[in-house]
Amino acid sequence: MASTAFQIHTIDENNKHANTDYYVATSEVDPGGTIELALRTAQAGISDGLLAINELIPFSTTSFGSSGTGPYDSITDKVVLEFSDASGNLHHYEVPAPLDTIFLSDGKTVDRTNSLFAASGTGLIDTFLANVKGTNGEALTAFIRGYRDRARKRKNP
Amino acid sequence: MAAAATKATLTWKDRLGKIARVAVYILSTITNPNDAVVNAVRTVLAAISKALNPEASLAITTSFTGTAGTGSYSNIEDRVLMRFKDANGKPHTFRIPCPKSTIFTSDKETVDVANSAVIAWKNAVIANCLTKAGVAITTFLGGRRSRKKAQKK
Repeated sequence: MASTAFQIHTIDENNKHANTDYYVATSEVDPGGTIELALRTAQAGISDGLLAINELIPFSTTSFGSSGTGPYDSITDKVVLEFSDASGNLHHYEVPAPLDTIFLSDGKTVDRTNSLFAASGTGLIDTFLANVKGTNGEALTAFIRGYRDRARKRKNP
Repeated sequence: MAAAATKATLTWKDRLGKIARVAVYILSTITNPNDAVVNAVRTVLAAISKALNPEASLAITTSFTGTAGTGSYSNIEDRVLMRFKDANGKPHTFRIPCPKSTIFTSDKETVDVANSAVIAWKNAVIANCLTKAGVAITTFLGGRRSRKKAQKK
């Protein structure tokens, strides 16, 4: 990307939220940096809202994987991966267009012994446990299960 | 105050070009969308998917405390549209919610371009902001008040 998106989230006196979108140099990595605080201070001068959050949204456009064909090749087909943290809270991740070869013969349950999941250090389970966190920064501690799911069809109005 | 974890949003595109997104949270210290941690997660997910993962973004946040003001237009549905021009002459509009009533001329609709707070904000934008394509924003054209209707429930 030629620039990095930067948003200032505003809250009004009725606790309603709105965003103001800016773009800044891609070298910006701190939403509390000099430029971001200068924009926030300047916006506070012309707005009565509470400028509650500064958010930087850097992008990577490096591609991973490729679009394939075969069973479950639509984004409406998903595999749901279920992990838990040390407190027993569950964390779900819905990955679209799953490979059919990751399921057991029922076509629904993830085969956790599949090397893409189970490979020591480099498999999906170990990679998630090492790198992915909960929304409050808590570590994931166990892979519970994975299962195939499909997006629900919308009912006609 | 920085967030406890950084949200990484991974975009997926199937063979028909339909888009889906997967959100994962990673260490809050990671600020580079090309970081090895982000790439490791993208690698293992791409390995089990028939969709292409062409893009990833991070949402790095810092929050502030305070109280919203109670001026005449202190509602997010009231906003001021500020118009700029970039170095190529292309127009760009910034939307600022809850504008202070003091930044308008006597018609209460047109931004007073001589107002010191407006000048300070305009200067901050020109000094620090780019367009999405990375082009410098060069000229402030003016602003006017706008009201966005509330969404029906």
